[in-house]
Amino acid sequence: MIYDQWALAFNLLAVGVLAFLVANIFVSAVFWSIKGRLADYAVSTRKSLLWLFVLTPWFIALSVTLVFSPLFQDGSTFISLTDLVHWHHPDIFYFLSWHSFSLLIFVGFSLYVLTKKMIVLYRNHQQISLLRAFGSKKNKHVYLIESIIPTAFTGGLINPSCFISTGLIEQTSADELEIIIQHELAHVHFSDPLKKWLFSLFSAYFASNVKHLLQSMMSLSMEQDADSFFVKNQHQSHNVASTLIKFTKLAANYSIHPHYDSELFVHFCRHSIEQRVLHLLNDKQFKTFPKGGVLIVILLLVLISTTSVDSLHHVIETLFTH
Amino acid sequence: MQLGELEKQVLEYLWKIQPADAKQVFSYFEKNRGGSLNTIQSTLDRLFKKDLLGREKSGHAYQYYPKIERQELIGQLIKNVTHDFISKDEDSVVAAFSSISADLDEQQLNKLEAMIELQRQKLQQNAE
Repeated sequence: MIYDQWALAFNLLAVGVLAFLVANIFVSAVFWSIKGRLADYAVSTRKSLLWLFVLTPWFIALSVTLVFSPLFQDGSTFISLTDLVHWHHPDIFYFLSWHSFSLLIFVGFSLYVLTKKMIVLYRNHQQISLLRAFGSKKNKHVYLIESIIPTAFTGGLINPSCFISTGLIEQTSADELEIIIQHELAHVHFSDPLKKWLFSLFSAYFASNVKHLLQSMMSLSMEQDADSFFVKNQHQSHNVASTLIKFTKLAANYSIHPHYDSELFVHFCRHSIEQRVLHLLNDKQFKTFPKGGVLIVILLLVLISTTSVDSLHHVIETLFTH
Repeated sequence: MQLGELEKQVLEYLWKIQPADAKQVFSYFEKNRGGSLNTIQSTLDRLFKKDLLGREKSGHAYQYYPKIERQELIGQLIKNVTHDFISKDEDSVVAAFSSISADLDEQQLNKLEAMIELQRQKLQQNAE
């Protein structure tokens, strides 16, 4: 058992963890109920909303922790707030308590996720470094790699580079190649590999089905954003869409990942390419960022999470003495 | 895995001429870029430790040979890097122009292609 400042710090961390879990459940529910409507928003807005979904639990955890901190719990100014929500004995922390266990589980899970992501990062860094070493630099961001596999991708987290294979150059026209290179340069411009890694890190805290959908949506949005990055008129949109179809057909002849032939994967690919082509052909007006709605939902979630943390705390401590 | 410039050059040399011992490699690089036998020996050793070279003892010296051919190595790297992207993996850190798979429905792609063509024609008609 510890007292005073350290105890207060540990108790506030336990509050944060509990608030994070509650917020995570509510954010997942909100996301699941509006997932179908996200396609009505422009790609950049959709990306912002997806970021908001994965970051909101952290923001709520921080807000709730602040509400439970002495900043808002001491003195007469926030007396009504203290009546509404409070934490029992914040200056005493028991190591053999549910507070401590929840904290340990969260820290353990976070370390597991971080280690896993760092390993991915390290492996990717090694592979990209080797590709850079064996490739020839075409310009500042584009590397040419000698391979019959028609491929184009962007990799590298801090200084991303585009990789274009000789197989792709041989089988595409100069215009098509330019479209592909511009698409990859858009990924460099947006720092997509780094953002993808960060997004996967934050979304790892969600339940499996929510996590996969969040990541698929973000991945698709990034591709759609890169598709339209340099498109200035409908004619160019059509050319990008045609190139996408041609490239997909070309790549299909080089099955380098034969083990991914499950129904789910086929559906995902088809869905992804279909969505990208339809997005390029579509000229409908998209909805703007729902500022008011987002603000109301976040405030509501802060309120729900704060009262839920207080209620959960009381229920657990009434049923079991720690 | 990082590869220094000399490591890359030695590997490229061994892809062309293999197997070779340290002296053979040194005699080639001595003419082309200078350096000492020790440097070549340690470079070969580093490449061996990185698992890019294999070696067999022949007399007093090791004969070094690439464990994997150039095309094969690049193909393997492409496969590994794009694997994350195509597998709908949560750990994907690569953004590729299109997913690579032989499992796409050709009919579906043809349908999309026809749709693009139709839109193109409409646009042309409107312009006229």
